[in-house]
Amino acid sequence: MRRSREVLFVRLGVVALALVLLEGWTRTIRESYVIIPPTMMVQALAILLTNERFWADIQTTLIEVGLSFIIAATIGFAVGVVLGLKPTLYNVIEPYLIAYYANPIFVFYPVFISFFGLTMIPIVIIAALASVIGVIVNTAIGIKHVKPVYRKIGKTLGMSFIQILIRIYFPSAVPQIFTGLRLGLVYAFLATITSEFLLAPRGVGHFIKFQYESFQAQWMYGAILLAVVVAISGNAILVRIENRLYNRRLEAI
Amino acid sequence: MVELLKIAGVSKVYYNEAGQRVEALRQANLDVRDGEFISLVGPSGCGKTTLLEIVAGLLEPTEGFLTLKGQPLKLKNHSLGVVFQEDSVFPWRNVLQNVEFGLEAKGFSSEERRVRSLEMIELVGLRGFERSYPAELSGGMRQRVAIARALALNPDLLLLDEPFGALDEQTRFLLGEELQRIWMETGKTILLVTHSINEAVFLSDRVVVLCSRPGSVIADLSVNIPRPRSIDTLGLVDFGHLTSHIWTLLRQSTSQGGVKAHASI
Repeated sequence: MRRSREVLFVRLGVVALALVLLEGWTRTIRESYVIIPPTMMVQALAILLTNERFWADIQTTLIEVGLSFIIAATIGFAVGVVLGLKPTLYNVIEPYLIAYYANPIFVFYPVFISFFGLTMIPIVIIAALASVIGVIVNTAIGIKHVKPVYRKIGKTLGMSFIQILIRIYFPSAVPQIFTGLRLGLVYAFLATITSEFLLAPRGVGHFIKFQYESFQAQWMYGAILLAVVVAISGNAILVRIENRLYNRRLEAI
Repeated sequence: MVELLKIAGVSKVYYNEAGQRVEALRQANLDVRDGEFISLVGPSGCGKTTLLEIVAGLLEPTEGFLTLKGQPLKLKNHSLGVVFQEDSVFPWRNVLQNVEFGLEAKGFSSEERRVRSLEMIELVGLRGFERSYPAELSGGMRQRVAIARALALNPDLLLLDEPFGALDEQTRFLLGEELQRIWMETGKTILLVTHSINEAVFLSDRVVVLCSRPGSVIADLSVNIPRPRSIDTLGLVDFGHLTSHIWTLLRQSTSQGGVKAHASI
């Protein structure tokens, strides 16, 4: 107990120290268009959050991230489970998975824009493509590595395949499945913001780029701060759900 | 006593990865009476685990049939409890949730599950550990959880596949004594697979000896040592006679097996 408190103290201390140093440094230099003090970032964000047009950007980005993540998580989970249950199939398509991983997905962004125009659709597709692979691979590995003896227990209890899948495979693979989902969310967010940054009429990424090009450092940093906070919160929510489902600290080592 | 399990002419043949025919079990016959404690002993490769997995419904026999209570053995109609050598306790569930697992799958109400599971936890001597997670328990305690989980469904037959094989000698003996007590308290029929001859003789009413290549039953010996048996049993003349008799049988079968294998080339 005491130990975990010390860890928390050090963790928060490091962040607090970095913020204080950044604050001091930025207050003493003059190039306020390069970097601004953290307190001003917070102020800028507070002002931005009263602006309706900025909220429209936030909404666009959240819809894109949400849609792409839901699509990627659903498809990725289903494909991952099948691949995890069929090791032979996994071995057959593994080279394709690796080739897919190696792809810089963004090169296809112009292709999708020419198909669907400057709407949310190309961004959702790109983000889902970037997100899905991590979910597939991690889910497959998690399911594949479920101890065979667990399945035997289910079988000898007369459980059906579906019961074994839901009551044994899924809970047993929770840590690995959630690693995939967290990775998927990170990629969905990254791909959405980047696509907006590259070419889009709306969204937080587009807003950051626009402020950058207009030398409006305070609004740019305000939006960056928001993006960072939202991304970290999303990840933290998934960690919370995972901990509810599977107590990681009590896993046998 | 009433006959509970009948194994009649069970053979198992499979083909390994190289495509070679492996005869794991040839014409195994065994009758188990209700409430009996039976051990299967033999060298590795004698098909004792294969036989247990056939009884457990994990493998299909190539030939022969099995009946439980006079009915063809089906997992849908009968309930079996199985404990494996490998740690099979679910790490994401605490002790109570582990023991409740089988009852959940069979759709018992939460009240029934709780009552029955707490009773089993008490029986295996894990009272006070209901909320502990497997990672907090020793290997021996985890096997106790596995036994409690297997017993929770009140199975017709308890199958134990080298349940103490991964434990140290001392824990192994203590759990053996515990198993005897559990068996005497519950009156369950137990089929134990072990490679320890001492363990087999110490625990069983009957010891079935198998030889390897192909696996087949070579002896079926009654153990008439009074119960409850304890550490003193190990020093009894009868105990020594029986274990050395089994040793002799196994040695003979290995040398014969060697000759047979040689002759077939």
